[in-house]
Amino acid sequence: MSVIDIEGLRLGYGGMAPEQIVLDGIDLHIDSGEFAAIVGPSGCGKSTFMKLLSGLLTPQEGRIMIDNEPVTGPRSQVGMAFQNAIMLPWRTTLDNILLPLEVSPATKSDFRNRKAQYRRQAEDLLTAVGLQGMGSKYPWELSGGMRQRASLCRAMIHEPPLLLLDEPFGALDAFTKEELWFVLQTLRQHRTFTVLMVTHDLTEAVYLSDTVYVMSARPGRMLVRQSIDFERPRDLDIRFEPGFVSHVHDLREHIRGTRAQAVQQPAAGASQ
Amino acid sequence: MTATTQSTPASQTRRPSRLRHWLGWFRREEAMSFWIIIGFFVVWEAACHLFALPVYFLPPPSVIAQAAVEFQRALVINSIQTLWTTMAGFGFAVVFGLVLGVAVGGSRRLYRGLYPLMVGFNSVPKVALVPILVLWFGIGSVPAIITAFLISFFPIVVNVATGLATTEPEMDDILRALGASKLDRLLKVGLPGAMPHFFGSLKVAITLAFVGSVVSETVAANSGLGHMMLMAQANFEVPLVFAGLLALAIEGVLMYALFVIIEKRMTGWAFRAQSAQQ
Repeated sequence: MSVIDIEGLRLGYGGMAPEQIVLDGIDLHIDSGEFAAIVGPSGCGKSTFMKLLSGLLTPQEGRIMIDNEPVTGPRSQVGMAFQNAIMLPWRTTLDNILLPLEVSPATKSDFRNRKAQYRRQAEDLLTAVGLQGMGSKYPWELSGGMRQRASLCRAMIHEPPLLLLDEPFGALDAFTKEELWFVLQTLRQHRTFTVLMVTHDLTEAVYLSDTVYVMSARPGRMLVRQSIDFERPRDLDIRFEPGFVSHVHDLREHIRGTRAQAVQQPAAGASQ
Repeated sequence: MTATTQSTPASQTRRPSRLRHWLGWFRREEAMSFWIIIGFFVVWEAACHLFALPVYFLPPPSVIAQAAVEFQRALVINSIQTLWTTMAGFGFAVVFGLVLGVAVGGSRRLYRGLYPLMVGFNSVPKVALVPILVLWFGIGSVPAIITAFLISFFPIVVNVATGLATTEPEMDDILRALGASKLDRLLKVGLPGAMPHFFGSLKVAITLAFVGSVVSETVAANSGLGHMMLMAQANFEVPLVFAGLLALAIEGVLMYALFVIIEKRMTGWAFRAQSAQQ
């Protein structure tokens, strides 16, 4: 059963003239519990795509269904984490993680009564990402990697069926990144949820995902769908196996192709 | 022999070290302002004597101090009058500035619509408004309070609006995707985030409020430091004019210091967050 169903999605900023189109005819089906990654050249509308799924934007054409219901506006069925793990500096890490429950219409009314239970949930999540006992610390007392772990907890606290990650590990060093890949896998062993991740890192995409989509340069289209079927849990050393390397290589070639097209197109337009 | 040579330097260093410890504060960075102020008055005093300046032109600090003691009753009463009109006007400015700042910072439409009017209001010299205020409210405390209010609300509005506008877009996306209401986003994220801007603006606003109330008192009042200085000048009591100025400066510094303390207490996280990032 698919969690995300997208058909004929088209979106333009400010209008539907050719130069305003950002996403042009996207069809996508993501199954429940699937880990999907979107890779593509920068500026291809990946982040716009994420905003559509969270209901912050509505497309001019096409339809987006999550759990067989059309997305018409923001609903608390998605969790989001970004490259920049912004936390509110006047709240402790635990209170930052509880913020979604505090403001979401579904849990807001009885937040005070169930706070003890929510705190336990948050502490369990902190333990799962390796931040046991760090809930009372303020965000500035955490390192970049720790903040990103906490930001994952915040995205998951309301147990959304869908997690949207926009280059979540882009700003981290290689070792911290590997630790966080592991954290993400651990979290998925606790509870099954669907993940859609936008990333620039092809190794990361292949290592974490069941399916990798390559998006074209603007206007964005899904060009290639590549299934990755290594067994889980995956070991970090899998990255050096020939099968893995050829996946990464193929993806790189596709992206290089779309970049070359993007350079040629304006040149062709100018010569006319 | 060795015992005595060891004990004598110990007993010798003990006394100076205690004195040095007591004097230690004056060598610290915090004491710099103390020395600068002392130096300022010493140079002033010396300049008056060196150039033999007449007392009615520039009285030396010692003469001002004498005048302050002589007229202490008038100084205290008028200082309290100025302090209360300033604080009343400032209080209105804080409430009004917060409300208008939230309105302007929360809505682009209001921001674009109201900004030119506010800048216009702020550009009008407040001293020019005092005759109108006297026409409406008569001579007394009311024009001073209103002038203090008018001159000090603008920096509060601008800073609260700026603080609200600098909420990080990703944070807003997260909350909006959760279906959080506009009020919740304002109360949980926008306003707390704007507090460093707000408390910072209070330090500017309180000093401006003193300017406003004294300007009004100088034009139209029968009490307050501004009025007292005007009377002293008319009676050629130049040292008392300067004593009034010093009293104003002291009030201003004390209120400023008070708001620095309040700022640190209320938004300490902003200072700590900054030092952690460095």
